Amino acid sequence: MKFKVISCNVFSHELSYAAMESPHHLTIEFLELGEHAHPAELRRKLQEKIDRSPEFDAILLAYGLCGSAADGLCARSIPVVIPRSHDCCGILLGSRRRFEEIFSPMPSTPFGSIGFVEHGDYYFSDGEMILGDGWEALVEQYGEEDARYIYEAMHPKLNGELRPIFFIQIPEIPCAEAMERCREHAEKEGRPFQTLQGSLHLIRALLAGNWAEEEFLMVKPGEMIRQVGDWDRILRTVPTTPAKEEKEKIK
Amino acid sequence: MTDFEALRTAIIKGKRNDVTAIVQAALEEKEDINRLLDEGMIPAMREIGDKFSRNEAYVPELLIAARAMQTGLALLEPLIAASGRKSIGKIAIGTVKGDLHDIGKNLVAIMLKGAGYDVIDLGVNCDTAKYDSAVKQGADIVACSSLLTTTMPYMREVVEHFKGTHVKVIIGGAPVTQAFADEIGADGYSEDANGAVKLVDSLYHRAS
Ligand code: B12
Repeated sequence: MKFKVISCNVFSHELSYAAMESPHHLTIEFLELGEHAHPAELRRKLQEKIDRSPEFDAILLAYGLCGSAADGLCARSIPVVIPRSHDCCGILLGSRRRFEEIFSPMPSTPFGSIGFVEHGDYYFSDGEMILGDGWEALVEQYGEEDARYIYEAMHPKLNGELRPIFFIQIPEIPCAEAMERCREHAEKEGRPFQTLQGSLHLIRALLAGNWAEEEFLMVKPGEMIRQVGDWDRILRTVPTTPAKEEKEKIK
Repeated sequence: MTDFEALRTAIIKGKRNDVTAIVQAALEEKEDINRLLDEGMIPAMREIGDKFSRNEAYVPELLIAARAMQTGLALLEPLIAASGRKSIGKIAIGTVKGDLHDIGKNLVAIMLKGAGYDVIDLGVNCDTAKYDSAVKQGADIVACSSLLTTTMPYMREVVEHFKGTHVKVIIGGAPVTQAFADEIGADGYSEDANGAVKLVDSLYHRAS
């Protein structure tokens, strides 16, 4: 089978690894991790890529709901397949159940992985995605006083403490250096550092074409993705009516 | 004469010392408080919010603009209270349980204050008991903010909790949609802070 894979580059290592094992013909395209800071824009870009890929058997999205970026995406002439996950954290852990177990007590807990370190998320961006997140850059741009205020707002505390960061390591993917950078950064911030074992399970299954209903949402031509607003199914499909799609565009 | 242009610029650029100076000078000259709000501070806040939506402003800029706005509002608040003007409504606002994102919630709180409402800001990570505490203090609208699709489910619980009472629950935050609000039976949704004010106006049956 011929699949088009559209992935966030947070998964570049995991995807390349799993792609080698897939029996299918894969055409992989990556989008920047930083896109997730603007979910509506990310949705528009993903839809554009879906619209421009009619010559495959299916389009595979290596994305989660990602701040509702996937809410409203439509399949055109070929099916679209997407894991049922809130965001990359659930995908890196290999199961949304495990994600729920660990993160549902406090969903505002930061996480990282080799992809986060290499592609720079807010946590590692030092002034890229969210301009001036790095302390020195902040001071230079806003002066010490405002920089302090911005820094504190960007490092919210719960009961006076920063949440720990969970670094997700997947056994097949060497990540010692990235993990060390994450640990150092956490130490600098005064944030506890912990690790979690991740799994390639979902990415493997996505690329291998093992799309169990329980773990993946299959969007058939003429259907649209809708967020559920729960921990259980996360995504569902609804028929694409032209009116609905118009409304999506206006949003 | 108040320089409204300078006031707007000071807020947009997040210069809170400038805001203090301009507002204080204006108050000494007995400038109309409503004019300060409606021609200076509120349009400035609206502008920086719109800029952010168009990706023309970054989070830090939004943060310091909101702080400058808050500084200005704090100078006006005692005067509004002293004028004996009856509050037009009391609203409790908070980011829901499990969520620590508060920038959008703070903007909504600021705009509601600017529009003349009493706002009880409950902060972040609010469970139903926290919202209840504000209702006991007289809030009749509960405004919930959520920025994570993993904390949106909690909004369902808040709506359930206040079902059958006089309390109206409104919801918002980047991943929240009108479709979700309809589905969980919330009393209202708006996608931005200006819309939130209009929404609250309509719930109090005030023409806006
Ligand atoms: C800034 C930000 C942060 C800051 C928060 C600072 C703070 N004090 O709030 C920091 C850096 C701390 C942060 C952290 C995290 N974040 Co964050 N964050 C964002 C970001 C980039 C912008 C949010 C924002 O402030 N927007 C600006 C405000 C003005 O907009 P707004 O909140 O939407 O509010 C407007 C409207 O929605 C509306 N509104 C808001 N509330 C209400 C309420 C009512 C009643 C109404 C009517 C209207 C209304 O009016 C507002 C003004 O117009 C978003 C991406 C995005 N663009 O949404 C990610 C995002 C929300 N974060 C995300 C995540 C996952 C996290 C983390 C949990 C994990 C991580 N990345 O490691 C961490 C952990 C938290 C922690 N403890 O550190 C994800 C959520 C994905 C998901 N699963 O849903 C997003 C979408 C980005 C992403 N894909 O990674 N984040």
